[in-house]
Amino acid sequence: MREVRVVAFLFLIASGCAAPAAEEKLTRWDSSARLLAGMDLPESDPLYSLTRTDEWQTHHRAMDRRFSEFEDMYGKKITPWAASEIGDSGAGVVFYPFGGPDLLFPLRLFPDAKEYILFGMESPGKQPDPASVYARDRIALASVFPTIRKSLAWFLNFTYFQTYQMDKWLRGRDLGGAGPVMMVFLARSGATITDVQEFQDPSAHGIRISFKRAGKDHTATYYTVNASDSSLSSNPGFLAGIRSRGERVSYMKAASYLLYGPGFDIVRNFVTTESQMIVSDEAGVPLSSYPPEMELRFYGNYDGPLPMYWPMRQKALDQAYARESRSLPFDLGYTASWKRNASVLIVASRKHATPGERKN
Amino acid sequence: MILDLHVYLRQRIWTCAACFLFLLSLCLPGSADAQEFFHYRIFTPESGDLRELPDSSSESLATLSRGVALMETGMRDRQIVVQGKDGDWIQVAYFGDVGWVPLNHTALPASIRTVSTSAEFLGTWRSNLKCRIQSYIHIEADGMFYGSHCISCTMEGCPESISGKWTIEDGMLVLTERKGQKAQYFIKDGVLVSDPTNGFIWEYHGASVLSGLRK
Repeated sequence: MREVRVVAFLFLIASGCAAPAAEEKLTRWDSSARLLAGMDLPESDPLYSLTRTDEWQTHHRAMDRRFSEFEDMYGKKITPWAASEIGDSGAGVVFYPFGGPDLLFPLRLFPDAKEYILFGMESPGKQPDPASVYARDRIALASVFPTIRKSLAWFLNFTYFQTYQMDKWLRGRDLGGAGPVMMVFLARSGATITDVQEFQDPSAHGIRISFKRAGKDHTATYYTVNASDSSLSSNPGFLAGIRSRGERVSYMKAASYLLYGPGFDIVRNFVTTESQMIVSDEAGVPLSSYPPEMELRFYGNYDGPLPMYWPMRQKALDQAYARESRSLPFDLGYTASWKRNASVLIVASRKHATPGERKN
Repeated sequence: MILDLHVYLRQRIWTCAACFLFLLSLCLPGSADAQEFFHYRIFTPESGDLRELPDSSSESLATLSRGVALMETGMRDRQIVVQGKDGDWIQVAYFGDVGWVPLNHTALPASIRTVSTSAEFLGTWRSNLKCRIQSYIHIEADGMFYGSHCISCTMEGCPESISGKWTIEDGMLVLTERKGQKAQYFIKDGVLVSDPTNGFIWEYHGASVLSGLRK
């Protein structure tokens, strides 16, 4: 039965990646996302003519190859693993600190979530409007495509964003920022984008994307926020706003070991004491910070951090992995750019909550 | 008859042994579980470009000089190589960028002399990421290294001491920390390059041992 679901899920993704039927009417956001993602548009689409350029055709071929490589290395392995090992957490919200615009992994790991909340230091960007960029300057639009490819190249190979690379390729450019990158991920994940809103509320600047996937409504919100204690202590509204959304799963990957030391106590406590489930690599939540009422399952292999993070090696994690570990069929986080089969993923659940099978 | 029995028993023993080894191999972790470092290639022309696409007219992401190390993005058994109009191109990572170089412009580290003598590595090296990581390592002629390592914004009790053995393998300096962790380094323009994927490099800081480094 599970295999049937996996096949059905892969079919949904494949059908989302294929050219839309000629009679299908895309929203303007969906058209923009597909254009940026290098995916075909129907001839009736207002942006269709932009896909007839040499620059876009190059983009289309390059993006197809990059996402195909991503699927081979990671995507095909994550989806069935998540279905069997995480299942339906029951929480409607996924909270993903320090991940930048990485919507691709949470969509794969938690496809049932209604709301995805991401934050990082990168700008959210503007509501992308390729048609107006094209009308203003055709060359400017042509330069957007390689910029998107360059900003994604590292991530699609090694599963995490490098802050300085994101900054180098996306800051201050046409269609720059986190929003367009998230839209590319949504388009490549078979989602249909129904609305995109940039917002500035008292606690943060952000962008909210509403989308449909497998017939269900979802939202993905990205906030540009500094999550250090000194910043959050004067901005309590940010976490209060997230708290008000209800029960949540927290997910962390390649978070620069920020929660290991002082200076990030507020967000660490928020993650560890208020999450129904935590799914983290070893650079996210340190082992000593998981509360005793959580049951931990260890996946993958722990061989310490990257050499540049040597002091972050956790003896307790060495011991935990010596006692027990389960198979992790894909790499992720910093170790994905260091060596194969050396990645860690810890799934922590409240002892009273047993992850159930997905309700498809 | 006795001879035949002996031959028969020997055959049975070898058959059993072969079966045992076969069953044992099934119980051992397969290659999919084995940890494998990414592989490096050395850029061989005097200069050239890391290209955004596998095409010599594609945008240059970085200028490469002879002898720089490039990390293959695929593993050795599945390198990401495509055929372009001007030959095969291999996908590599170099200081945070992922791009392409002509395959025939690269060589495996062991096939090109990248380090003149091990003496080039001796001395004290300081990390160049001054805002985040305050680290020193001292490499001694007796095959040992030691130093301090501190990620200043996230650690209490800095600096932490590190020590271990060093060797040269495949044209690279390999540091094996006493807890078993390994790091591979190249020398590029007089600095130690820990990994062409993350830009973490060490500048030469002289032959003397700094105070504060602990054996």
